[in-house]
Amino acid sequence: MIGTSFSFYTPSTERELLITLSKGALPVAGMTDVMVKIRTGKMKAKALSSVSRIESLKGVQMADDAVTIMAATTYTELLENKGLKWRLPILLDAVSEIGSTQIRNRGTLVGNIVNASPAGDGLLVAYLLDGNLEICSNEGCRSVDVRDFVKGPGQVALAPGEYIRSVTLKIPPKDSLYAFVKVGQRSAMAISVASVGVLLRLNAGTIEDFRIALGSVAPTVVRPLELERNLVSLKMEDGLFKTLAGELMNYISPIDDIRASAWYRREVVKRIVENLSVYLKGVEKQ
Amino acid sequence: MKIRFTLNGERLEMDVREDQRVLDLLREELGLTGTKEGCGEGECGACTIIVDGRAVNSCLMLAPELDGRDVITIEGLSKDDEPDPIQKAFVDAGAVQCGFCTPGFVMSTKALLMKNPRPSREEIYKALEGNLCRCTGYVKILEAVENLITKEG
Amino acid sequence: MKLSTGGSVQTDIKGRISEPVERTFDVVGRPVKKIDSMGMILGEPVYTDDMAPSNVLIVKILRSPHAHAVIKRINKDKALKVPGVKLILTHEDVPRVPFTRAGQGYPEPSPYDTFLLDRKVRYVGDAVAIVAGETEEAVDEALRQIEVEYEVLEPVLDFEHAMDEGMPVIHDEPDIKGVYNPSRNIAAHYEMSVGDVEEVLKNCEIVVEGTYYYPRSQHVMMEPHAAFSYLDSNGRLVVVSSTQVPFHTRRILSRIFSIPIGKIRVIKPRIGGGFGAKQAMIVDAYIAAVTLKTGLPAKIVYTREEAFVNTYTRHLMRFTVRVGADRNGKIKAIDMKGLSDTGAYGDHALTTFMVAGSKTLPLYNKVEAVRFSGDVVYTNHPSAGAFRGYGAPQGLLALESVVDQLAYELGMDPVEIRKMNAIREGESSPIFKIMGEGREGVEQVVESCKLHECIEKGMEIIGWKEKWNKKRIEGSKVLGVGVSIAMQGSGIAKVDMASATIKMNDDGSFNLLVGATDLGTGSDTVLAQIAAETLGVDVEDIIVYSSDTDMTPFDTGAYASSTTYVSGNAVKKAAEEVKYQILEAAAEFFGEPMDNLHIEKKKVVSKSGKSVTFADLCTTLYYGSDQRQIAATASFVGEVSPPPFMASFAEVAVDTETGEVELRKFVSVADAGKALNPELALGQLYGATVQGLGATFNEELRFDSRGRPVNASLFTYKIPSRGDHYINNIECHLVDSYEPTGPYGAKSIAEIGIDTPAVTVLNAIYNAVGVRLNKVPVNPEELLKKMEEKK
Repeated sequence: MIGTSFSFYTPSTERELLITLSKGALPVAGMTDVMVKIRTGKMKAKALSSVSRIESLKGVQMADDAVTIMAATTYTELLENKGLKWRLPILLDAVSEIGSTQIRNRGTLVGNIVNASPAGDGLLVAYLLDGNLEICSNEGCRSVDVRDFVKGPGQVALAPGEYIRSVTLKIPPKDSLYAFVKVGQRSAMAISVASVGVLLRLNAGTIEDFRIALGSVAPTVVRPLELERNLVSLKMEDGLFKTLAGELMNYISPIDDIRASAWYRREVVKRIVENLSVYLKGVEKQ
Repeated sequence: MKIRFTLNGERLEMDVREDQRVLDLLREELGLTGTKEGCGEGECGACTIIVDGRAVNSCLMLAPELDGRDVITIEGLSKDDEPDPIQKAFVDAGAVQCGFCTPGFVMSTKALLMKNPRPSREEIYKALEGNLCRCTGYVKILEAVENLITKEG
Repeated sequence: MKLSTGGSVQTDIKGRISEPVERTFDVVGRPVKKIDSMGMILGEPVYTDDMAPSNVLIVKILRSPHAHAVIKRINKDKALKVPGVKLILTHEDVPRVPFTRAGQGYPEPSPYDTFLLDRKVRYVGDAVAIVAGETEEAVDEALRQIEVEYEVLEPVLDFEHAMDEGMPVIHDEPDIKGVYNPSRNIAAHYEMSVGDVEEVLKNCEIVVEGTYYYPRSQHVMMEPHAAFSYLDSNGRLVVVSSTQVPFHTRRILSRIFSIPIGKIRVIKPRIGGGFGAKQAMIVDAYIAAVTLKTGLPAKIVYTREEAFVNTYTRHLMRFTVRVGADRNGKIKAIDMKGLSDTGAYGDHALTTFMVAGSKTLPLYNKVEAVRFSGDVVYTNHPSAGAFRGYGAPQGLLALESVVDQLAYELGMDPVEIRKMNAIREGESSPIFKIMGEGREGVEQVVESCKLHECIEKGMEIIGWKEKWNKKRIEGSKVLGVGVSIAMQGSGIAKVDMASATIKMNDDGSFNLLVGATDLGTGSDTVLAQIAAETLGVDVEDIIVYSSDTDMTPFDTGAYASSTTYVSGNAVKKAAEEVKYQILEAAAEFFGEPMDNLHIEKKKVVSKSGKSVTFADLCTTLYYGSDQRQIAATASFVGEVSPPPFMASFAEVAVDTETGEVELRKFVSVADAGKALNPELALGQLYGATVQGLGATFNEELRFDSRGRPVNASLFTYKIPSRGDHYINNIECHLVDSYEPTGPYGAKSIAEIGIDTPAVTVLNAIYNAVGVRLNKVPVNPEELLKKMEEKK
C-alpha cells in the first residue's frame, strides 16, 4: 500500500501531458524514486502524470557532436543502444552501476537529473558532458544548462506546468580518455561516498581538453571549470595529477553523514585524482 | 480507471484505482499472491514481475501503467502444472530455503533468459543483483541458473 | 566410548544399545530435495499473508515519536470517526499483565517487563495504540487522527553509561518481574569463575588484553512479521502466524488475555525466514486483542521499517578480554568482562549474554582459571533479542581477537596457537556445567569433535602456509590472512523438549506430525529423512505437517540450533516405536516370532520367506483382524548439547589509498556431526556465513542523538546482495563426524556459520596492515585513519 491517495495520469501525447500539468500534476517518468518518496511521506503530490507512454519523448537522437536523450528513455534502453557505446562510453559506465536491472528497466536519466542528488551518477555524467535540458510548458520551450538547472540537493529550476523533453549531452573530443570512479560501500545498489568522472584529451603529451566532475562532495555535483581551463595546454607530466588533487580540495565542501565523514570524502577524492592514470581508459573503437 | 492488459497470457479488462500499486492489484484484487512484498521500495526484488519482457519491481509501479502491456507473474510460468525449467532448476540445485524471495529470483532469471538464452556469468550476476536473499548466500541460486544454461545448451 | 551419555536415544525400543558406528544409510546423508520447495517456487499461497481471508480487519500500530516519554493523554475520538475504523485500543483498554515477548521455555529466563500497551514508551517506535479498520486507508487516516500528549523524558542512549548514577530509569513500573536492578537500568547480571583468575594471570609470562564491540544488526528475513486471527466455530481463538515458536506464542497469549491455553490454537504455515526475529510473540497479541474484542478476523503485516525497529535486533555487546599464557603460547587463564545493550526490553537479555561465554570459552578448555562476568543494560533503543548465533558472535569477536593478539605478541603462527589450546574429542570443559542458558548448564564430554581436521582443511584451502607471514603487495593493496575457531550447541540441554507423532496409513505412507517449526531451513525435510530412514521407506512416503498447536505434539520451537538434534531425536524415537509396532503386528500376522522379521523396502520380510507390504499390513489392521491404528508419539530432551565446531579463514586485500577491504577468500569448515542432508546443511552454512559477512562489512542499525533510527530501510541498511564483491569468494565445507547422541550422528549447523566472519576478517586485516580494528562493520575511513597514524 502506498499510504496516500492521489490522481495518476498516463497521457500519450505532450499536449495531453500539458493539460494534466495545468491541473497541478507533477511530471514523472520511471517513478523508481517518486514511489519511495511518496510512500515514506517525503513527497506529497495530489497528482502525478507519467511521461512514459508519450512516443515523442522516447528514444535517443544522434548528431555529430551531441546526443539527445528523450525524457522517457530508460537506463536499459541507453545500455542497449549500440551508438552510445563509442560515443558516450562514460555515460554507459555510470548508468550500468545505477540501481539494479529492475530499476534500470524503469528509471531514466532525466529523472536522475531532476532528482538532483549530489550522489546521482547520471547527474554527474550530465555535468561532465555539458548537459543541456529542453524544458517545455504551455508557453513554449527553453533550454537550460544542467549546471544552472540544479540549485541544490533535491532542488531544481522546474516551474509548475513545465516538463523536461530531453537532455542533450556533448560528445567528447575524439580519442578522449575517460574514467568513472566510485568509492563506497562495496556492494551493488549502494550509493557511493564519493564519485569522480574525468575526460581527458591528449595531443602528443599535451592536454587539449580536460574535464572533471565530483559527486557527493558538495550540495550538488562539482565541476571546477576554472581549474579545468588552467590545465589546457599543459604538458602531461608526473606530479600533475597530484597538484590537481591538491587544488581540487578548494572546490569541494563535503559534509559528515551516516556514510562517511567530510575528512574521508576529501581524502578519497584526493587519492583517486592523484592516481587518475590508473583509472583512465580509452574509448573502444566502433 | 479502466485498463486492459494481458496477464499470464490471458486478456483482462478491469477497473483499477489510479494510485494502486501493481503489487497490490496482483495480490489483493487478482489473488495472485506469488508476488511478494519484502520492502516496498525496489530494493529486495521479491515483487519482481515481467512487463513487456522486462523485469520490474511491481511495488514501484502503478496499476494504470499496465494498460496495454503484457504482464507475466510467477503464477504464469508453469504450464498445465508443469513447472518452468527455471523453477525445476532452482528446486534441483537446492536454491530454495525459506522461499520468500524465490519467485522474484525466478522472474528475474526468466526475464534474462527471454532476452538472452546464453548469458555469461557476469550477465547472470547483473540480472540478479536486484534480488535479495537472506537464507542461501546466493551460491545455490547461481548454481541453479548456471546448471540450467549448461543443460539447455 | 561412553554410549549412555545421551540418554535413551541410542537404545532401541527393547532397550538394546544400538550401534553408534557409521553404517550405510538409505535416506539420511543424501541431498534429498527440500520437500516443500515446489509449492514455494510455483508461487502457491503458502505464507501467512497469502492465506489471510479477504474480509479481515487491517490492524496497524500507532508508534511513539519519542525515545522515552510518558503518555499524558490520548484522544481517539476523531480517529474513531474515520469511516471504516472499527476499533482503537490504548493502554487504558487492554489488560495490564507483565510478560516477555521472548519465546523461551517456561518459566522464561527473560524478565516480565513488557505490557501489551503501556503508559510509558521506551523507544522511538514503541507501541501506543492498536488500530483496526476495514481498509488500510481508513487505518492510516485514523493513525494520523489520534491525538497523543506526551511528557518527554530524557532518553538513555549510550549503553556504556546506562548504569551511571542519576541516569533516567527506563523501567520504573512497580509490577514488572525478574529485572535484576531496574533502578540502575540493569536487566540482568551474571558472573562465574573457575579457579583464581587474578592469581593465575599474575603468574603468566604474558597477558594480553583487548576491548571489542559487536553492533546492533538486524535479521532482515525476507518475510516481515505477519499474522491473522479469527474465532473458530466453537469460539476459540485461532492465530495463523509467521513464528518460530507456536507453542510459546499460545502460552504467552493465554497469559496476556487470561484465557485458557485450550481456547487458543496457533498455526504456523511456511515461514519466510526468521533467524531469531520470530523466536518471540511479536505481532500476535495485537490482532488477538482485536479479534477477542470484536469477534472479527484481524490481520497485521509489518512493513520493512517495522521489521527493522519493532521486532528484535542483535544485542550490541562490548567485551574486554584478558588472556594469560606461558611463553610457548599455552593459554592459562581467560577473563571476559562484558556489557550488553538489550534496548527497551529485556528479551533474551541474560541468555544471549551467557551464550557469549558458554559458546566460546569451552574452545580453550585447558585453562587453569576462567572468569566471565558483566551486565545487560536497558537503553531507549528498540529491543534486542534472539538472533542467529545468540551472543556467540559477540563473545567470539572479542575472544578470538585477543587470542590472535596473543599469537602475534609471541611471534607465533595464529593457527598453531589455536591448535595447541583448542578442545579435542573426548575432552570436557567446566563451562558446560556452570553456564547454561539462564541457569546452570549440564556436564558433558565432547564425544564428537573434528575441530583440528576443520583447521587443517581450511588452512589448505586458503593456502595458509604460503600466505601467512609473507608481505604481499599489489599496487595500493596489501594482502593478509586471518583465522578463527568457533563452536555452538545443539539445543538447550535439559530444557528444550520436542515431540513427534507418526501414524501409519493403509497405503504404507506415514503422517509425521511435529511441533518443530520449519522456518525455511528445510527441517521438515530432514525430519522426514530421519523418519524414512528408521522406517525403511522413501522420503516421499512421509507426509510432514508442522506446526499447529491443535494437531501436532509439543515442541519448544525452532531456535538454539535444536531442530535436527532435539526434534530429530524425537522423530527417530517415534519412528522406532512405530517400527516396533509394525514388526509386532507382522509377527502376529505371520504367526512367527519377531526375531525372525526385518524391514526391507516398505515390506516386512521373514526368515521363513514370508513377506507383507506395509500397505497390506496396514489395510489388514484397518479392516481385517485385530484392528488398530499403528501410531506413536515420542518426546526427547537432550541430556547434553553437543557442540558443532568450525574453523574459518579469510584472505583480504586492504587498499591503503581508501581503507577499503576486499575479501579475496573466505573459508569455513564445520563439524556438524553426520550431515543428514548435506545440501541443506551446506545451505545453512553458506547462508550464515554471508549473513555474518554482512555484519562484517555493512550492517549496523543506527540512531540519531534523539534515538530515532536513521537507516531502518533496505535502501539505507545494506544486506549482502548478489553484487557484493565477496559472494563468489566463499567456500564452505563439512567435515563428517559422528555424534553418538545425535539422530544418526547429527549435531547442529544452523547458527555456527555466523559466529566467525567478523573476527576472521579483522584478524586478516591485522595480518595485512598491522591495524587491529575493535569493531564491525569494518569502516574504511577508520581503517585509513589508523593506517595513517601507523605511518
